[in-house]
Amino acid sequence: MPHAEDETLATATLPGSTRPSRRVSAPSPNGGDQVATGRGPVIRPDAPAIDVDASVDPSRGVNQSRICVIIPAFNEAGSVARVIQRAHAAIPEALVVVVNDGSDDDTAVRALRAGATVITLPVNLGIGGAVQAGYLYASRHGFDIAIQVDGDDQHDPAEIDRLLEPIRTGRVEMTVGSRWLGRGDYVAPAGRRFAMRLLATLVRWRTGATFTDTTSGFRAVGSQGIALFARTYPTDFPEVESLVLASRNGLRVEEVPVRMTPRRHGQSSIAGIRSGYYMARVTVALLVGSLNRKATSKNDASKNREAP
Amino acid sequence: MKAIVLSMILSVGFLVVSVVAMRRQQLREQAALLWLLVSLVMVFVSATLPTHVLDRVSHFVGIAYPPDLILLLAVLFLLVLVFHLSLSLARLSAKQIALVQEIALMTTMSPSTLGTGDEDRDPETPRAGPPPAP
Repeated sequence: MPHAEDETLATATLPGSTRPSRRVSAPSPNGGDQVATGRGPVIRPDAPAIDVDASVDPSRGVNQSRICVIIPAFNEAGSVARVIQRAHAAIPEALVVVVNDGSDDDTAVRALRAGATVITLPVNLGIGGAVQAGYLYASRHGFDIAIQVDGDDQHDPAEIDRLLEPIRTGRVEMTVGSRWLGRGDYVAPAGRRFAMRLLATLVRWRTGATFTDTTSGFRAVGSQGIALFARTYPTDFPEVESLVLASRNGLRVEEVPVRMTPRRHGQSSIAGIRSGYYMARVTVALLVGSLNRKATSKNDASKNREAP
Repeated sequence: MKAIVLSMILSVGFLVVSVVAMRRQQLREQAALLWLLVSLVMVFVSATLPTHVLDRVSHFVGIAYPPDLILLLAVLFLLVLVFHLSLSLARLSAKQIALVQEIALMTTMSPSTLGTGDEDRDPETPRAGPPPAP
C-alpha cells in the first residue's frame, strides 16, 4: 500500500507551480469547479492518484472493484468482524475498508482477520474525521462508489444493493438509508423521535428536500460525492450536516428504505447528556447556515488551505 | 505614591518577561509584538498615574469612575484575544485532523500482511532473510 501514497506525494510538487500544490495533479471527476468548501479550514486537497489495485485482494476480482465499503469503527471489536463478513457476503466485489478511529481495543486486528483493509488513525478524531479518512482513501485510489456502513452492526449490509441502485443508474449522486420508510421494525424512544423530527424540519428548510432519517450513517455516494467529502467534511456530528453540504453542492440525494437493528455492542456516539449538546450544535449550525457556503472556485479553496 | 511604585514594578516586570520570551524565541513574532505593546501601554499608564491623564480621559468619554475605564479596556482586550485564540485553535485542529488522516493513510494495512509479523513493512523493500537455524 505505501507505494500508492508515494505516487501521490511524487505528484505533489510539479515543476512550474510556484508553491507545492497537490491540486495540480488532480483533475477532479466532475470538472473541477464543482467541488466545494463547507468550512474554511477543513478543506483537503484531493489528489486522486489513480491506483486501481493497490490494495485490492486479487482473488476478489480487480477489474470490477470500483466500489469500497467504508466502515468507521471506534472500539467495535465486538461487532466489526460480523459487519465485515456481512458486507463481503452482500457485495463480494467491493473492497471493505475499516477506519479504526484510535480504538483502545483490538478492533484493527479483528477487522484484518475478517478480511478488511484497515486504516488506523493514531488518535481518536471522532466519526467525522474517521469517515473523511475513508473518503480520502476512496478518492486517492480512484473508487467510483463509496458505501458508508456503521461498525456497530446497526446496518444490514444486505441492504446495500438498495443504496447502490439509484447511483448505478445515474439517477442521483448520493443515497441515504432511512429506517422510517416502512422496511424493518426499528423503534426509537420518544425523545429521540422528537429530535429526529426537529432535525428533519431544519434540513428541509435548508435543502428544500424532505429527509425522514437525517442521522442515518448508512449511505452511498458516487465519485462526485467522494471528491466532495474527501475535500471537506463536517467534523463532530457529520450525518445531518453532510446532507446539507451535499445538497448545497449540487448532489442529488435520495432516501432509500432500509432495515436497521438496534445496536448490540458499545455505545452510540450520541447518548445521554451528549444528545442535548448534539441537538444544540446541529440546530445552531443549520440555523446560522455555516454550511451555506456553496461551491467556491479552486483558487479560493487553496487560499483557505494556505491560511497561516 | 505607593500605588505608582507597585504598578511600575508590575508593568516593568511584565515588559522584562515579554522581552526575555522574545529573545528566547518562545513567542511567534506576531504575539511577541502584541505583548510588547501591551506591556508598554501598562508602563505608560503606571508612569502617568500622578498626572491624572486617566481621570481626564475617563471624564472625556463620560465614565464617572476612572478605574472602570481600565477594567473596560482590559475586558475588551481579553475578549478579542480569547476570540482570536479560539479561531487559531480551530485552524490548528483542522490541520491536526488532516495530518492524522494523512499518517493513517500511509500506514494502511491489508489482510495479506496479517500474521507475517511485518504489518508495518514497506512491500517494496525485500523481506529480510530467513531466521537463522537454531
